[in-house]
Amino acid sequence: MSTVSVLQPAPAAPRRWAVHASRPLTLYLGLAAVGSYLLLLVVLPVGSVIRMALVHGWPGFWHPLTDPLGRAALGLSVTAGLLAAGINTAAGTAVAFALVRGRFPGRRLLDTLLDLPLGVPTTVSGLMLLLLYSPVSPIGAWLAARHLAVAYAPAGVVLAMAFVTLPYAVRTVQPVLAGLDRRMEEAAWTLGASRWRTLREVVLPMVWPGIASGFCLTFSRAMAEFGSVVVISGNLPGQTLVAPVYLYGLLENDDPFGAAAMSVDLLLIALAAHAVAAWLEHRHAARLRGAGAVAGGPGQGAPVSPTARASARPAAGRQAVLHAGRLAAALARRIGRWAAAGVFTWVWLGVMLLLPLAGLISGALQAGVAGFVQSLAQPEAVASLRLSAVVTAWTVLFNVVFGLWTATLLTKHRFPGRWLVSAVADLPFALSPVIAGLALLLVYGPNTGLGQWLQAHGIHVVFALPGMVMASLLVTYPLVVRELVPALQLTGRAAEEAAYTLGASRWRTFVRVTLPSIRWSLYYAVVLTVARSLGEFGAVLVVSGNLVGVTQTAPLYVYQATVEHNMAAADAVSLILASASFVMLLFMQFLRRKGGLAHEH
Amino acid sequence: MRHSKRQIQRLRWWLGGTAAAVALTSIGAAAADAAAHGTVHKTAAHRAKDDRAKDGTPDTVTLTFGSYSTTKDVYEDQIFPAFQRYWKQKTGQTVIFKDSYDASGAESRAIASGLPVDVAALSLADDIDRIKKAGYITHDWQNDPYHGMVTDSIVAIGVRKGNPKHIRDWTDLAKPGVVVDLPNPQTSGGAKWDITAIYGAGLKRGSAADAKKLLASIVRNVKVLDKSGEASMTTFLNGIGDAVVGYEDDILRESHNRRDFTEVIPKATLLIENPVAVIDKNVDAHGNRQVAEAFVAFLRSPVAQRIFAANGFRPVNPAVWNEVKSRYTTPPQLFTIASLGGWAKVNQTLFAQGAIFDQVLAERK
Repeated sequence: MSTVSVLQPAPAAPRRWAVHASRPLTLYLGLAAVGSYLLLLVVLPVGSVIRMALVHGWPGFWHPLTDPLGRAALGLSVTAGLLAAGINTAAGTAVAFALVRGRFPGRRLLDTLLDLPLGVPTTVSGLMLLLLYSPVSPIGAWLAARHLAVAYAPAGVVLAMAFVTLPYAVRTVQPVLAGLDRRMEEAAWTLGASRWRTLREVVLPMVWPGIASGFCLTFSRAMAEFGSVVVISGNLPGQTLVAPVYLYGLLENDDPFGAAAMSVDLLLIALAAHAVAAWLEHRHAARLRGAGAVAGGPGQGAPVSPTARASARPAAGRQAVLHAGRLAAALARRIGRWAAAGVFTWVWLGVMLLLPLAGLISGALQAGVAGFVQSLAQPEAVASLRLSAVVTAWTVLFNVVFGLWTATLLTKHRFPGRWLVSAVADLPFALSPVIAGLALLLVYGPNTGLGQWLQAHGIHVVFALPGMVMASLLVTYPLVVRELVPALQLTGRAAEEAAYTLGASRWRTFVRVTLPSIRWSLYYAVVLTVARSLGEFGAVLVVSGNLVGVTQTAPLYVYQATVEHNMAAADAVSLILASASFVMLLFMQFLRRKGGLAHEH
Repeated sequence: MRHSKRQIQRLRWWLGGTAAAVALTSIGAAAADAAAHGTVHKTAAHRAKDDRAKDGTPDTVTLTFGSYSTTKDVYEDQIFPAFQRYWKQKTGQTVIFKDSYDASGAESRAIASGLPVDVAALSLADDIDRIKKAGYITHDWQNDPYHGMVTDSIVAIGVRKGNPKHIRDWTDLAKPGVVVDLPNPQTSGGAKWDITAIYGAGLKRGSAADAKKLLASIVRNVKVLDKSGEASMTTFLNGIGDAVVGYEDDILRESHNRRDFTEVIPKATLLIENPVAVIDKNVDAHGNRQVAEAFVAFLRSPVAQRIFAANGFRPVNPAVWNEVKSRYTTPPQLFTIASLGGWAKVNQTLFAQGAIFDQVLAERK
């Protein structure tokens, strides 16, 4: 996570590196490029929202909080967001461990399926969950008989948030874990440390940035989530109405100032969360330096020896007071630690991911394969999928270039105001998608000075392709930066220094040493970008104008289909969108195996 | 520098992977370029055609149409083809429609922020007025024999087949144990019609306090306050609730398709009036005012009005209304938004922050 990592003082760097790192030309060039990119994409739009919130002066920020229903909505968003982030971070870290270190049947499959929630338009995610848990479904009825409600209750809000953010917590920890230097752990074991102690004192400190990053990412995204929550929550003001839906209501009632104020409040809360995480990280880093345990080498340790793995003992159940805990410990002892991890991963992802996915597939195939093909062959569906592909291609291109550039700038350079660049890069993440779209409209719309100037020069941004690409970039850019920063931080410094020592140029070092060492993070970043921009709905809806067959992306088509109760078409197109990230991950794994790197992971 | 075989192989795969990714994105980018050029070519071709036209009028004309969510099927499948035939016959020109649909309020906001729509048909007059306020409509759009309207409907109740809860009127929705589906008036134009209908019906029976009480006891029976009228209908179709409040045309269409629920018309309810307007600033920029105005006139013609009637709307054309009147039940105490003082007043008393609907919600617990 960039905010976190930035505040972490770099481990004492050799002089030669420092000289290289502060070479002004690359730094200034990078600052100019990344700075203007951030200005156009983030600062101007977010700034216009903040300006709008302040139209009625500073009290504007507190305006939504003077309304008891607004207060309740914000409270629910924060509580549910924290819960969803907590659950996802805990379970997600465990899942990441199991996926990276474990050997159990179906591991690859689960790993590949994990990103699906990102690619499914959120409206469909909400409907899938609703069909599973609504009081008239078997599960919902079973729960209702026990006086537990998921649909139309706060629990449903947490569930929807957890589903939509499921991949983040895992995907931020996973690459860091995969790149860890195993020798440290082996050294700890050799010195007689227990497995648990090694985990706590060697492994966790190293993956901590990833975990903190995952938590912040999940929390901000969960708070801003609109599409799925609005379907499953019931939206009763004061009870199940979340802040993004509340501010959407204000917007609809010609109170854009109140809506802007509420969204700025959400931003501030997300920033506060980042600041707390940064402080924790800072303290942790200081302690870590004190202990002299700093991850250094390139992430390619020797595989753990079989004896080390065999010596794995289940954690003695000092806290196993609970019956369930004792049972789990016994089970773990019986079938071995990683098998237990496998069971946990299967159960968790089974409930959270496979069950809704099965609903989507059965929905898409409800009229048989012929019906599925027919739904997809509609000219409007084809046009929308093609447009989505184009928007996504542009988004990936910009994200790879500027995401890498930003992440490199943040990790390999020291310059004043670095924290600011990092914070600005994170900002859009906590922005409710509807507001993100509105922000672009406020800057580039036909009613603004800049928009009119661009239009006079023949450039149409809003209600055309550029605006849709910008909306996708706005929601995916922080994702890429956050994915790359921890990876860049953890890997390659020693190797880079070696390359410099050997006389390699800065560019050559970047291409030959740095890039290869973060390649899997970069691929993940691309997959995340593809999935998220294929599934993005709220922000694109506002800037596209939703002209059928012209500016209607696939998620907008899906939305239209759900409005018309044409669930077969909605499910079919959603399934295609979800499969895109699945196919990309398959391709990645193919590359990895072909490259003879499978055992590295 | 010496590389091990494995390192070289790895490097090769890494480069291969990067090259593949770059190639994929370039293909995407090229496709985008092609798409952009495609449109340019198309317009160029149109222009060429335009130049060829003998009498100075082009062969084709493009009309951009924006409307609220539920109308898409009616317009795309029935109204557009009918108008295209009519206009071709009359002028020889082919009309190309571009259309956009969203919740009425959201569509109205998009047009008010510059979405280049030529003709807008929305749910309520308020949403057209927002476009006018933004300066895109310069004429008095309600100054015609139809007061700017294109279709009518009423606020009605949908109940499960056989009406097991014996729902006949608004008061039955207030009974304990009846679950009512209603959208949220903060986000849905349809919900504003619904809530106003209930409140207005309460006013017919007694004082303002009685009306508020009726509304409060119905809202107490609401478990789900959906984002839009459509979402509310979906909730009902998914099996939640004993009754759904909504547009009569929507209830008629859905119950016609599904046959597992029926319409109940309360004694006192609100007449829904859906407006249509030509967006002056956009038609002047596009140079298609003539066809836009002809399209609006066509929407009020018997041909189009019969299509609307076949889809559950109540026609505004008096002649067509007389033809189909017998198919509709007109409640004895049908009232209009004008009789309640217009949208401005209703918004203020019912929907403003801290107004009656907020009070009712706060008292719900």
